[in-house]
Amino acid sequence: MGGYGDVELIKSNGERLDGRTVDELRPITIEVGVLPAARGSCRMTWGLNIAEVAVYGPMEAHPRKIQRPDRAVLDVRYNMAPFSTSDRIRPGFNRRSREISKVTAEALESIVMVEMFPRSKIRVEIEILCAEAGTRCCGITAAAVALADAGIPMKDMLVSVAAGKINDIVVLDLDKAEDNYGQADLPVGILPNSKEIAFLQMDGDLSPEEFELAMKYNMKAVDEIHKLQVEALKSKYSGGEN
Amino acid sequence: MNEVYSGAQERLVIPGDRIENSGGLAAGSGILKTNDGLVATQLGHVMENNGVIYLQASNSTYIPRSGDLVIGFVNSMRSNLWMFDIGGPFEALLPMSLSPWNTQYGDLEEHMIVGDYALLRVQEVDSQHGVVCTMKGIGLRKISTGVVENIGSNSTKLFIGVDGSNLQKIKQQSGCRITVADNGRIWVEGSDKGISEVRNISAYFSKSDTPYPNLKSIKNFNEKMEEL
Repeated sequence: MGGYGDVELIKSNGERLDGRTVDELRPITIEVGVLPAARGSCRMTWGLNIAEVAVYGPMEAHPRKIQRPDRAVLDVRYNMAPFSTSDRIRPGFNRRSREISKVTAEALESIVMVEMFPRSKIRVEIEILCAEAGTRCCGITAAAVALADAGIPMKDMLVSVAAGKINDIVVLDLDKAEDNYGQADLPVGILPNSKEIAFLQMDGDLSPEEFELAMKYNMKAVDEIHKLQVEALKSKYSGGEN
Repeated sequence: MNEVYSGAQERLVIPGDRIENSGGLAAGSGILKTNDGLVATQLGHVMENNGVIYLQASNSTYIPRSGDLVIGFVNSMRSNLWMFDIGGPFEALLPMSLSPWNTQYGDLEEHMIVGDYALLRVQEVDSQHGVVCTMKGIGLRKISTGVVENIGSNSTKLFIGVDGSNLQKIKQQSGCRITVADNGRIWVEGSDKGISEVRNISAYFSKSDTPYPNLKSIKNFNEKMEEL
């Protein structure tokens, strides 16, 4: 970002390079219960991104020093597989994965009723198998589905999506080229029913008007993605009833 | 039960879903009361009983309550107590004073070692979710015969059926003695063939998409029984 704003990312007919309109999401699929050993799990594809999330617990928090007497601890680990991008990623934690793990944990804490499980730990493992752009949004959205699948009490679902700015135009859901050569990126996590904002980050510069428009696109996308979350969860358990 | 709530009984909700409550029912387990009304906190079916609207979760962790009958296995030991895995968020303690044996301090291995299963009753759960169990009581014992299967704490109602009808049928067909614990584990004693049949049925219940007895689940269960 920054210095790359002159790369042509929007065609003369107003379409983006992949043919989407400015407020259109990449194709999304959500599958629930994909990992039999986990208490709850989810596999999500979002454009070329593929994320798998496993949830374990609540379980006794170890080491004991991390226990909280009044609530559970969310132990979130975001990791990109070494083969997830064309440049091999060195296995293990790095600064970026630590940051995203922390952001994800804090976003999920706003929906999980952690006070119901004092001294315990809920483990959320997010593995990015294929990365394009927007892996944190994909991971957080999938993590909320996996938590619901695990039966963890939550006051709402959580949907994460990003809008941004390319060629001075605000667009929804940046792909790889747009993320690399765009001017701004605004990922948010929103509770779909109450519309509360669980997290918001901004990379680059947006004017107040552009920010408003980006949030408008994000809010619209949240409803679309939430519908997919609901369908995925209900299709596993409804058995044709609903 | 009026028509609105008999409809609600079959309704599958996910966390955050608003639940209609025109009848002024009290919020039960799995339901959060907010300024905007009642909100579901788990994935499950909305149920109503005795003026309380509650959620029958499709998948949830077993939360121990005082008086529950549980099947656990010894996870670790101290000089004066056993620590059991009962499938909940925390290990349960069995102090030697609450065991049926006259045990001496440090001699716990004479009676149970790590990996042994036992039928226990939850004596006390404190505010910090500390669980103390007892083995003093009718039927409580170390499990040294048969097999222990896990069907999940959500599926026990379905496994037992209305007034124990399903359990009765399973017992008759398999010829096995079956003990269903509140933590979703079952203890099966009987012939190898009978145990195999019960294992087949328990696998079916643990995968069931309706974790409470309804017309559909009863029909499915009867079909499953005919298959065996």
